Amino acid sequence: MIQLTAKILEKEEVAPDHYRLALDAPLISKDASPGQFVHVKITSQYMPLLRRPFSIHRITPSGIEILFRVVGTGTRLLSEKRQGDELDIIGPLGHGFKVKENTFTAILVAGGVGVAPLFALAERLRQFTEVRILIGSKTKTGILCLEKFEALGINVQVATDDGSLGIKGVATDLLEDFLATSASPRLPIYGCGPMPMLRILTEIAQLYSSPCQISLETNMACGVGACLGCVTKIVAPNSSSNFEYKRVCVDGPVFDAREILWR
Amino acid sequence: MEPDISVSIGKLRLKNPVLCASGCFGYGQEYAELVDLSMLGGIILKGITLKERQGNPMPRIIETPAGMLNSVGLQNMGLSRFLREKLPLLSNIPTAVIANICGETPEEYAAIAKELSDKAGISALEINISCPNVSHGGMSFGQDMMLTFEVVNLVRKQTSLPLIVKLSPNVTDIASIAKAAVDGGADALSLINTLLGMAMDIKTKKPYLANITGGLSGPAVKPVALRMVWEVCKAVSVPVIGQGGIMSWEDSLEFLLVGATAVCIGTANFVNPKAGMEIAQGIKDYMKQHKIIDLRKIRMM
Repeated sequence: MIQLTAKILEKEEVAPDHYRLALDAPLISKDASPGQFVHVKITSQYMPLLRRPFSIHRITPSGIEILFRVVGTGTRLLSEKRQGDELDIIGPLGHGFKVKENTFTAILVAGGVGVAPLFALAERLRQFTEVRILIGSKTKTGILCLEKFEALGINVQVATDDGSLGIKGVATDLLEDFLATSASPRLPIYGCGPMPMLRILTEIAQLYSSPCQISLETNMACGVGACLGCVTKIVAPNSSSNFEYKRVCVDGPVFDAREILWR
Repeated sequence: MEPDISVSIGKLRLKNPVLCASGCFGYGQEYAELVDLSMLGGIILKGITLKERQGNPMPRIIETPAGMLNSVGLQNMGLSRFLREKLPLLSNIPTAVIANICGETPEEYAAIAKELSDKAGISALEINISCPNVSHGGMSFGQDMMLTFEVVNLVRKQTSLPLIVKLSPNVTDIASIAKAAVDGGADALSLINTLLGMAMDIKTKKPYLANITGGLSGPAVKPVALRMVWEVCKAVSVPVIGQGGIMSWEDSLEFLLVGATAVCIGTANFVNPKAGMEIAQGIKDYMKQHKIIDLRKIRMM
């Protein structure tokens, strides 16, 4: 991990309230792997005070890309940055997706802006396996990166709550349909999206005995494992309470779905 | 002439007056790739309790204007695992390492202090009688003069290490608590711990923190911290470590001006891991520029 000042090389509004930034950070990208994140200082003022974590959307020789949705003051200010502006960033941070090279078809499941880390993962996985991605959102404007995945030769299926694109339903409906009809057992699943979606994803993966890794999103302060602010409940059979709190920033953000205690 | 920025906290000599605060810097290793630890005056470790503590439910943090609330609740591995897993790594840290200890009873504080007293790698103890996020011990000791005296006095009997007592701002008269800690045998005082606070989510009509209340830190608390450090510096003659919302060397100077011997950096580490290093350098540059050779000459007019 390194802290550096990165210039914004490109900025794109990919959809209403959704932005992609390409950052000049070869010293971060050379060590980065899919599923890791960067911790971004958005302003030198005291509001917002804390850095904001963003999963790495693309890893390129010149740096990294992030993809985010405007949800509050921090992301709004970030969306107002311009090409050429500089950002203080720390990265790469956390544990990313574990990738086995002798894998079968990999299934990626994204909810909304959860596609962000899955694009970097898809670019990596497609080097040695077939990749499918199932993307869900409320409506068609929230389905991101569709053409980019297709350009990689990746099979994309879409679900929207209102049926404005793809099937009317959610991404996990697509997953159930695919697994129910697939001849290959135990296909690896990789997911990122809202917690309720990840919970259903985990249940489906268990039903089909598929290994499943999910990337969690949470508020963070330090991002390096020092403050214990970003914990999540992890199953711990030896603990009297049957769980322990692990840090999303360094023990994750990617976890084996079986480890998460959903209660 | 190069200014001397080393300071003494009891028997403990620090190479510069900038410490990183307990709970904000882990066990030092977490930041080792980003920070030149040798440029810090010292590191105060995450609070250690006798038994492992799971900590409070999530969410534990929420950002507030110019600050943050936390309700971590002293999650830590407990004394025995600390001794096995973390202590061996501390001797490699190229600056002073101070252990922060917390108990549910005065006897627990004493037991931890005794165990840590002869351990290589630990230069001093900070007694935490000010954690606002635990139901037993913590802040309840630091809000009562008699209990403050009792805890400090019991720990004092178990250790010859320099003893720092970390005070809570959640009291009516901090000077009287400070005096009780000094009477109990404190070599130094550190303040402030976080201010008890709360934030509501108007969409869900629920508190943001699962623990409902949490400790407020960050630049928002600095004026309160400064006032309390000033009050304590007037009331006691032991060294005072000032903290609460320090983000820059200029903020640190304010604390030194009201009488603090050293400063402690907490939330700023999250914003800029290099804050401690930069503040130490900033103080040194200020002294050079103003031809101040002795840090103790920085005093309120």
